[in-house]
Amino acid sequence: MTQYATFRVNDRLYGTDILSVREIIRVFDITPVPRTDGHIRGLINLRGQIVTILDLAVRLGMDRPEITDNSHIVVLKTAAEIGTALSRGSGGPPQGANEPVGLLVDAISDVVEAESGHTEAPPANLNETEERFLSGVVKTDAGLLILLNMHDLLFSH
Amino acid sequence: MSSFADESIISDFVAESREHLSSIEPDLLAMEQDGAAAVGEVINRVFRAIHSIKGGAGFFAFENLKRLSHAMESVLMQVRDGKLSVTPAIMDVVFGALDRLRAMLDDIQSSDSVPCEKELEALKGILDRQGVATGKTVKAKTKGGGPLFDLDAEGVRSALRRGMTLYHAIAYLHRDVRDQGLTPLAFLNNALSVGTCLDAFIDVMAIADLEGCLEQDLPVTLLFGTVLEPELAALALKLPPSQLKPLDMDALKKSAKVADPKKADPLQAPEPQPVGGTPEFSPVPAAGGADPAPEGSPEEKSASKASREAGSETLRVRVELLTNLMNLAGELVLGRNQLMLAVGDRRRDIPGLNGILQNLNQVTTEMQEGIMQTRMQPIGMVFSRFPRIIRDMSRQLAKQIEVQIQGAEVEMDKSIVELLTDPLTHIIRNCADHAIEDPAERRSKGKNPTGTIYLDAYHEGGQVNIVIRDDGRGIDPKKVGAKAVTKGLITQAQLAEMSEREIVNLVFAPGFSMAEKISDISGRGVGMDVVRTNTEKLGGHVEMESVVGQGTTVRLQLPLTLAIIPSMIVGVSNQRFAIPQVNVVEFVWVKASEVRTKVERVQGAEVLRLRDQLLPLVRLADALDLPRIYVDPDSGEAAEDRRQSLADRRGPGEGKSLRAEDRRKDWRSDYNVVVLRQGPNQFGVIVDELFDIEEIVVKPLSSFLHDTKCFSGATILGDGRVIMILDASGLSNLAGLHFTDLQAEGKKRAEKELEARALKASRLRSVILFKAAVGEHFAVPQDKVQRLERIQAGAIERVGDREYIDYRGEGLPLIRLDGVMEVSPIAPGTEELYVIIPKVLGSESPPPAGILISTILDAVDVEVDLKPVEIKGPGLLGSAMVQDHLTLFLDPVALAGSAAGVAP
Repeated sequence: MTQYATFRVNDRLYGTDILSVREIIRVFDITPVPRTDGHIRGLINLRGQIVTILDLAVRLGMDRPEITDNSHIVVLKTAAEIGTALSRGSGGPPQGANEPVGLLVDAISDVVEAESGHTEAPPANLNETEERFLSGVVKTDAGLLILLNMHDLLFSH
Repeated sequence: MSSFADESIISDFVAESREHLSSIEPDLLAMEQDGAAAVGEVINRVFRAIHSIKGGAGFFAFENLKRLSHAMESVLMQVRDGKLSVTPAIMDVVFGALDRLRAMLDDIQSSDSVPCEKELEALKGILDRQGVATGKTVKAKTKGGGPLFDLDAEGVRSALRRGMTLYHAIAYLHRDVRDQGLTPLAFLNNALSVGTCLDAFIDVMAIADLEGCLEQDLPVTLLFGTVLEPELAALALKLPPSQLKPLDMDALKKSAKVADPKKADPLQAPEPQPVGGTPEFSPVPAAGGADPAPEGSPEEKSASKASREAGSETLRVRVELLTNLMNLAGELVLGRNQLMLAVGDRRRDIPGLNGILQNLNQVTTEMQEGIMQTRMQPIGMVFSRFPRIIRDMSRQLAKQIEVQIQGAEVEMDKSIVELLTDPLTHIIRNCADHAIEDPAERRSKGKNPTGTIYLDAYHEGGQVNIVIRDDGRGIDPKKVGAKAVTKGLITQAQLAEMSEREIVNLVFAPGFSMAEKISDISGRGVGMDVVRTNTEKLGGHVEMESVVGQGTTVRLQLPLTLAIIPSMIVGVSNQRFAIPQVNVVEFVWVKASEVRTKVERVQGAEVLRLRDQLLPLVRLADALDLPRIYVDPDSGEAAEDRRQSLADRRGPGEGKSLRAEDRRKDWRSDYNVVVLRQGPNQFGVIVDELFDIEEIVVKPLSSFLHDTKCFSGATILGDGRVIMILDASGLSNLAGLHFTDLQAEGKKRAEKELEARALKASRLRSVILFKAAVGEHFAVPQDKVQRLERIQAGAIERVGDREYIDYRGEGLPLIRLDGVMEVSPIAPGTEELYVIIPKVLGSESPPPAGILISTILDAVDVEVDLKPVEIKGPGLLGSAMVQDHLTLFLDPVALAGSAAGVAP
């Protein structure tokens, strides 16, 4: 069984292996960074460490969301914290793998357990999102859970 | 095999060996220079370093490393023993081997796959020529039987000549080395201080099976030669006596064919220690003996002891730890700032709090400085590479080049020192390759055949200056300029406007380096843009000066540290940014009412006229692609500002509300211009707000932020917010500033200014103001007037229509103004009159006529623009307002001439 941390973006349920999540925090004081990629929402100061915040919605090809009281930041573990789980194959961890990064999501949801073998390919009707960042879907009690391909999401251009 | 040993022990070994290598390089260079005169101490140091690397390599079973260092040692032994004199050719081989050793150390685990056959061959060649049998081995075994060793014959012979006894020692890596608080290298060094190590290896046979090898303590076999008795030797090695067995010396001597030395008790006839022994074990420095090299003088020993003691005052600390400490110190600084902010004005409410806070403040600052200092490294770390590089290059290029280093002790942050290595190496290589001429050419120019490259580092104004100067052929600006034009970097017109210095600095332009090799111009082009890029990345600046035929100077200016920097905090579009204070020149406040006069446009770009200079302006909001914010002075609401330019101050009549007029006067419409320095250029950045100057801790930019050339990092402010640090050079690039265009414009303006001033001077005239009739004002230029004559009306004589006066005994015809133009006549009955006598240019002859007037008003300097007048008349120049009266300007000479023409 794999446990997934799940969260909502545009009313869809997304998830990632809970072992890749360091912590989940409320949104506060994001400093925008001018002249950078649109999916970079900005920087926050997390207890003295500067964390880059990716806007998950924008990264998945959707509109830039408003920040509400429900918005959260899913802070991911760095490659060093996970081991090298994110660095697939050769060449070691990609550039930036050891820099803290967080995902801005609309809301967080429950931790969901699912057999890791039961994932299916993402259905074609998800075509409004960037399919390359999805690694599959799992049926759960809460509904269809879309799993994120964290490696490409973070490091591909 | 090497995996038997602990990773951390090996990395210690590698670190120590690297240090050895870099420390002996200068010694080797000195040996080459001094030749036979080289001091024994120098040679010993080199020998000892190589020796301990060899020992360590044996210890950890790095076969290749051991073989190579062994061969080097053999050659060095010949040198030490005075059997081989140092030549550049030999040193080439030694240096080559040294580099190979370094390469092996770089990746120690695969050191065995580093090819070193060439080096070994070369070293062996030297030894062969010396008649030293290499690879010849001697069989040896301990007295009680036991394992048989193959020993290098020359090594054994050398040891025997010194009256040494050879021992077979076994040291267990954990029990005898680590648990004693020693590193393997320290253990070896200790052994080497009392004797010599012929071989060291891990006894694989002693390990029962591979599975158990990790738990098992690893026995290292040491073949060790010393003059000490077994008990003393065991003591010195800190080994249990049972692990030290003497070899069968008689058999060994026989097989090594060495004549028995003076013999007997080594303690009574101690030979000098081969590698700088400790005084404790060799109290009597013996003179002579089998060893021809004068070694082990008392001075030398005390010196080496002193240096060892000095060594114990420093600690090796992991960089990671320092970086961590640095970050923590940064956090502490932030914490202090936050605390100060939170306490604010209330600090007096709690008795004693103020003192505590001040103390905390002080301690934090000092601690921060202290930790910063731990990261400071002498620039000599980089400089020290250059003598070797230059030596190699001058051999290759057949040039004679000397390096002179000054200020090697100047310290900078470790990260800067490291990042400087490449740019400096590049510059130095260029100096040697292109700038310094070959000896024949230098001689023909009357220069010293040996070229010199000077390296100098010094502090100045909170920055470090590094100067690289050579006495080579220099750079010809003409050739550089021509090249830059053909490469399309600048236009011919731009080139014409540039100073020689600017032209020379074109070699830093990107693309210039892509030019074909420009060694005919003395080079200095290949990749110099990389030098500039790297320097600017460090927040520094590089500049070049050159005198053709005399040499070139490259000057780098760099910050001391990158980690904590005072910065100015500015605000734009409700966001804050930090600008490093190094880049800030000044702050200019342009009042809203002055904007129209001080800000103008040049080729579409806004510029600020500041002290007769044109300063390009950048709106930070535009450069960063942020919406311009205009804060409503009444409601305090922020709205997007749609004005197109600073000078665009639409008045009330232009469709805007009346408030636009008020806005002009409101202080919030003033312009805050931060003048930034970027190399030799300056530009102004318009920001909305200015805050304090804060000490900020620079955090590197996350690599998730692509293409943000305008930022050099991020930081956390005292209030806990993250802000970005602006990068001056990135900003100027983003804003597309063309400094050369502006300089040209500035020049043009200066010329115009000069012209205007000349014009103004030409328009300034001294005039005499007068009246003929009441209410009508006239003026004549003073320089066209010879004299003003006062006359009585009765003195005028009439001949027909003409009137005359007596002027210097002759009759001078008079002109009445109303007679020649449409003006009022002089009121009849005026008794006192004046006559203007025009100056006749170039002659003293009497003027043709005088002009009769009634009153002289004034003689003044006026600046006038004459306007044409409707009335006609001779000599009428025009009219202008002078002293609030419309005044007709006359040319008396023309007027009198025309009247005289009419005269008979």
